[in-house]
Amino acid sequence: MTAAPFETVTYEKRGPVAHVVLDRPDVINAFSVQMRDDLSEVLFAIRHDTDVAAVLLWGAGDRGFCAGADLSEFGGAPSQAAARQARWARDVFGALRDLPVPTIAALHGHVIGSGVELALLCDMRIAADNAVFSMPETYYGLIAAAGGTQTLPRAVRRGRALDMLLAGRRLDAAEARHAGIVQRVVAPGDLDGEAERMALDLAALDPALFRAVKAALAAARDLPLVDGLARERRLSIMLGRGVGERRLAGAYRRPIEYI
Amino acid sequence: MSNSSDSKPGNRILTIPVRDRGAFEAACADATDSDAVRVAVVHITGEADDGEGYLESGEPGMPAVLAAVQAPVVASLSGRIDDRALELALAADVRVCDAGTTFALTQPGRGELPSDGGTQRLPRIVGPALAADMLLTGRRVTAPEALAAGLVTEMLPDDEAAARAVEIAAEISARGLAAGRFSKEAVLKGADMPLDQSLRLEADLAILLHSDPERTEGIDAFKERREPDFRGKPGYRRDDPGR
Repeated sequence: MTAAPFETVTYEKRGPVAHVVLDRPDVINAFSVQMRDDLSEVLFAIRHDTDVAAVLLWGAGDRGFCAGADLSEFGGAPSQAAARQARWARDVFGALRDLPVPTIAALHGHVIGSGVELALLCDMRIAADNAVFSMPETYYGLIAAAGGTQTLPRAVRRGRALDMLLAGRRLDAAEARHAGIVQRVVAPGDLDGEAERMALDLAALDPALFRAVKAALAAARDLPLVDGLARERRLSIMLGRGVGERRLAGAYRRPIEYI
Repeated sequence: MSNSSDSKPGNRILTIPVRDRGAFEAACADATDSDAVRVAVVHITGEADDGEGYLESGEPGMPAVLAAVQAPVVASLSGRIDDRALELALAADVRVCDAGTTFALTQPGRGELPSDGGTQRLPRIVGPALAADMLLTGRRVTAPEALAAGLVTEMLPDDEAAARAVEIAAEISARGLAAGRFSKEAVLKGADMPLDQSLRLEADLAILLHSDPERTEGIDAFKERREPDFRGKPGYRRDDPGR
């Protein structure tokens, strides 16, 4: 089953997994305004599609996942006020981060700038061993603006993040795994299969459990420990009630009533 | 590694001396106030407890002064990087070390608590487990272990870290000046915020940067398929009358 075609993104459902492919391989899937809009529509569709139980984000072509923002489009904002308005009017990066189902980035080749940032907004990352990660923004007088100055230090801690952001250090796949950018590294020929297997595993999770884990991890990231522990306790109780409700619904053959 | 090495490194790359408190403070002030300074380098060696420089106590501590520098700071480390030397290193942004370098916090063993960031910056850089180990047991950490933990991001053969730090500084100095300072600010300030708020900070800094001539030059260079040349551009001027 395939949704309506987009110019720069391919969206295909295979079983419970939504495959989202950045699809501008001639420019290593550089992230353009059109891609932002296409991805926004895809993410909106996924958010409201109860058949989708996991999302796998790919880059088309052999050369890499994503070469970063399409700088050929930069410099055209009518004003800073307008640019700020546009940034939050269509917050595609927030939409990706806040999807209610597990998201996995499958990475190969060039993973640059916004490519790293998109990946870091997913829940899990798997990379082919030919992947190379870099944040070149300051080379062009720019700063990372798709969350990278925040998500990268939260993934790899302060020292490594500053080295990548300020000095442009590149990490290969093994280094990226050691640093905490990716959780798995596989041979390039195995990326498709392993990523899909991961997605199917995560798609089989109880959706309520996934949302509880994601909310608990956000609390661990954002809250003082004492507040995070209280949130964890509440999430655990709510999830437990949900388990009882699902059992009852099964026993009496009635729909689940979500709390 | 950088095409900027032919420019005046003493100008664009400021070396911060650590053995003279007055010169140290003046250099740190320069690295924030002067728009000629694009990056700072600090060479920290711990070979002898000679009672000078960063071994001296004072208010504010030298780490606090270094941490307040707005320009990116690259540190080279060699010898025994202990106590205040380590706390000073933790206030830099990018750290590289010689292979023989070792790291330790010995204050708790003497019944003292580190008071210049050793209990705060260390866990934020190496994680809570290693920080607790170093603080509670005084264990001496080797350079390979420091590399694995992210305390340094590069380990060099002995006596090469100082030159490598200057190379990294040269790479940073060829990059956008405001871009580097804004990136540093986003990372350090954003770390203390919930993620949602920190993303707002990043976006606002990114859009503030739209007014930076170096950003325009960088984008033009990309479109013209050439290297950006930030030399001779006015860049970021904190005393710009246009505000």
